[in-house]
Amino acid sequence: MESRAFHVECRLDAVDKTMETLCAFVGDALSPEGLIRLEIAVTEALNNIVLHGALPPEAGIAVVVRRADQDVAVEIRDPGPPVPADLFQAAPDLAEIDPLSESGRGIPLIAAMSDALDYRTTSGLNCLTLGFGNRSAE
Amino acid sequence: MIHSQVQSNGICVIRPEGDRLTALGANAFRQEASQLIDNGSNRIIIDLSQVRFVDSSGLGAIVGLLKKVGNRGEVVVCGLTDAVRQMFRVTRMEKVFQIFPDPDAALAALDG
Repeated sequence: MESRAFHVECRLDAVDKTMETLCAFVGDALSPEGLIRLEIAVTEALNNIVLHGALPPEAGIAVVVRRADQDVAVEIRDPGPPVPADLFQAAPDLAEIDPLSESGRGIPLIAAMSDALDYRTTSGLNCLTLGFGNRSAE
Repeated sequence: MIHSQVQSNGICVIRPEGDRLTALGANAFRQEASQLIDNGSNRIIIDLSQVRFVDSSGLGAIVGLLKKVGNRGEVVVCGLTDAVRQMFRVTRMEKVFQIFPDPDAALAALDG
């Protein structure tokens, strides 16, 4: 098991930069398809914090990636206001979303692209942990 | 944020700048492309061949252009890379957009 920590400032450009390094670290621990699922889910999760987390730009988002053989976990911690506990479990299926909707896909994508998801708030920190293995997206 | 080229037949080919179309640049992309529509372009090819990754905001911007053109014209996409194709598949965008392998194929179809 290898792990790497990332400090992400609460800015959209910082998210894009981090994702490049993060995906390079995950590398061949996942299939190309699994890596794409991870990139989609983690990008959506980080962008969601930046756009809706009510945090100042200098606020830090802590990301820890743990990679093993064909198995990756990404832990994202932020100090913003918590989202409803059942937000991810209650997310609509992507197939249920109006295809002409211009928004509202972020949370459903996080839920659909990850193989395991845990969200909890402890001591003022929200922690979203996403797990990825090698399965098909559909 | 975008490169655009209007062909002699009036079809406009748009290429987003950079290899990621995400929340960072989605609004600028949408605004610049919308300006082209406001200026009269209503047959549009979005060439995504240089875009390695699209997130939900980028996707929303592309959908927004489709809705803006509406029945007055067409918006098609081409050159989907692996991650972009996967995003289109999981969000069912393959049923919304005509998808072509490259700009030439899209031009031929729109001009046919």
